Amino acid sequence: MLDLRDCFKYFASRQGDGVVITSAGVTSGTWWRTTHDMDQAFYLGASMSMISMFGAGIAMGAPKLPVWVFMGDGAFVMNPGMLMVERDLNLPNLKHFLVSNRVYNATGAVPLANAKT
Amino acid sequence: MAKTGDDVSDKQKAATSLIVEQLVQSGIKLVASLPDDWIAPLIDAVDKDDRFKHVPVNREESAIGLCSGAYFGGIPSLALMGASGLTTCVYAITKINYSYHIPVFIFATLRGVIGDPRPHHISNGLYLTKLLDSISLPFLLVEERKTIERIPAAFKHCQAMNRPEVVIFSEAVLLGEA
Repeated sequence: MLDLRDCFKYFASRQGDGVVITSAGVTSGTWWRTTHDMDQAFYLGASMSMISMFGAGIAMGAPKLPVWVFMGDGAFVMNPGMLMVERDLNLPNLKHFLVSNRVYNATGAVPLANAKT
Repeated sequence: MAKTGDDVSDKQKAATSLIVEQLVQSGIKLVASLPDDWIAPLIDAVDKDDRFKHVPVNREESAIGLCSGAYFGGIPSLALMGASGLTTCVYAITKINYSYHIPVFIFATLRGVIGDPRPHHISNGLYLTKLLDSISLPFLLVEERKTIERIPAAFKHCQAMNRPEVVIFSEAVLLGEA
């Protein structure tokens, strides 16, 4: 299994001028522990499932700015329909990454529905 | 089918145009919408107007997320939705917009009041404005045509306060009958 902190170190090394948006739980915590970034990261912790739409709004307004959103799978399952909007928007500077640990990590690491299959 | 084009009365077209012009005066460039049949002509008008980027979203909370991000992207925006959709946005508004002091401008409908024949909107008639009061979310109630012209002031207030603000339209205003 890929270690998330190693993964984030790799991303941070290639971030350049781009901005990162993280969701509640493991993505925000791990990005912070990995980078201690307060300039190019927005820790949108209180936002279950909304970070890709939030990132899309930034990406629309700043089309030359790379916008990476790191969303946990707990947030993802709450709003998978966001992918339809992202596809319509087709923003070349928006990248949506899914961090999958099959649990709601921010709220006690309780397994997602269907996590055991 | 949504009411668009020839299905809409001249009075409703005039009311829709007046609302659209207030959006232009406000500087709105992006509209994220999810439909309510009362605002279908407004959504259609925005969609066909090159002065706006119109984004149909999958749920109302996505409109809140998109418009909140657009604020940081420097794009003045509107989240356009029905009353029921607005009630589903309490989490997003109180968590994203209240926690991070991000303004978001919202249009909604005054469903469930006297004159609305749809029984499934009874909860909106009973609770919508009380719900907004309970979370200290300011709203402008538009029940007369002349109030439409206060939309730019409401948008300006929303931006100045760094808070969400809602404009709620009665059916009569949207139909051009009040």
